[in-house]
Amino acid sequence: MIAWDDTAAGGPATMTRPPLAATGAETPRVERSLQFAAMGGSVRLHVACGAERAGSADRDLRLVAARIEAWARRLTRFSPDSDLCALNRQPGAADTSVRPTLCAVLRRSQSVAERTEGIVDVGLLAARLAAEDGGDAPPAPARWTLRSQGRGGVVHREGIVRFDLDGVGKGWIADRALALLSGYPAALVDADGDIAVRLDAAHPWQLAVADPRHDDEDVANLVLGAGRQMGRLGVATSGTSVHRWPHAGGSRHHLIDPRTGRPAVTDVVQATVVAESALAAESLAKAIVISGSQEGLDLAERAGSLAEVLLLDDGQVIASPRTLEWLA
Amino acid sequence: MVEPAVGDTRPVRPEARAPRTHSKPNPLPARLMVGVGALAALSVIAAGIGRLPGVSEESASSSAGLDPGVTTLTAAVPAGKTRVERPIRYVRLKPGQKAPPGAKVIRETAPAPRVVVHWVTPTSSSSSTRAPVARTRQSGG
Repeated sequence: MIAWDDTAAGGPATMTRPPLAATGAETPRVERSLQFAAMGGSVRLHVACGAERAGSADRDLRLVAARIEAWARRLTRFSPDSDLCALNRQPGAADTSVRPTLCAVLRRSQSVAERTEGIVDVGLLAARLAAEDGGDAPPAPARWTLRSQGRGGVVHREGIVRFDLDGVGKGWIADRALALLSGYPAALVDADGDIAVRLDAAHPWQLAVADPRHDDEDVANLVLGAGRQMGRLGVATSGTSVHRWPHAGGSRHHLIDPRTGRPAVTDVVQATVVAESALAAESLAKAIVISGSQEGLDLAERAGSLAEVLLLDDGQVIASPRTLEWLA
Repeated sequence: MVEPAVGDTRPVRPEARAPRTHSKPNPLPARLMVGVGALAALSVIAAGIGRLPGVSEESASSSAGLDPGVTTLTAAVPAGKTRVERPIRYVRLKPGQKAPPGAKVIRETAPAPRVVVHWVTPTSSSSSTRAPVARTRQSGG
């Protein structure tokens, strides 16, 4: 039986059962998957284990799926019952208490903003909604801080701030779910394209980078699990070609540049990043798209990105030199 | 010349030499020969030193035009001890940060190194023994 502990604000998820030893040598290795709808898209869980554990693996995957759905219900901005919507209903409140899960994600979002040099900002919901409605950019969001209170926290806003966790929430969920599967020698959580993965040395996995121009085609394949590309990793993709809508004879997308309050003007259609976690990969991919290829790749290098694959608006697929060793 | 007398047991004395009528021989040719021989020997030694193993062509040629002896001695310095290192270290200044006195400040105008990766055809799993276990994509895509 698995016991969940998701109430801690930032600590790792825990399982009462000790992690399994690697099983590849003693028994045949099998891989089990579970796919379900969540977070406005599709989520897939995938583990490798010895054949004798296949039955319990299926049960564990269902439990992790239930946990992901619970986290998503608290963090979505599309359900009035979510913790996030409760926070956004009082956009000008000076102090608002938040429960542990939302507190943990907001705390991580502060680290993300620092790592991306302010490019990825979860306080830009008003600007995103204005872009979707065709309105002008609203004033820049006010500063906000977070302090601990019990197992949760208190959000202090110095003015109007409305939050949109978006990919930060998905990356956080993928990383947490992967931690819950620590008992398996290899595991993967695909949170609607943002992937947290942990690999063992004997069985490299291949990940495809989807081509947004053509269904069922890919712009690249990445091999994870060979050489130094082992252990826990995150792979995530961000871009402007899916969430896009017509506007004034042209089109707009959903990625807001915090420096302008408007959809970013960029030469990057899509960016894929490999980093040490899904949250890091997702935030760096978004930062590259918003910043543009030149500035974005420089930022990613400074931020410790492991690999990047970019699709540009002229159709080129480019990568930094350090990416080549990851390509299949 | 005087014949020795019979029974005279005294050894025959050589005839007394007549007084020399010419001067002492000139020593210059001999000294020249000795000098030339010494120079030749020095040249052989010098040539041997100049071909010591480990002397690079750059070291020998760098001394061209100087006195040959000096060249040889200079080239005889072990090459391993004359390696020149030019470490270049850059420090990225943060906004508001100033460079230390005497440091040369350059602007980051050069583009970051990157590689354009061409895929002639869309990537498929046929290039690998296994199909991709997952696809990363834009959310909602």
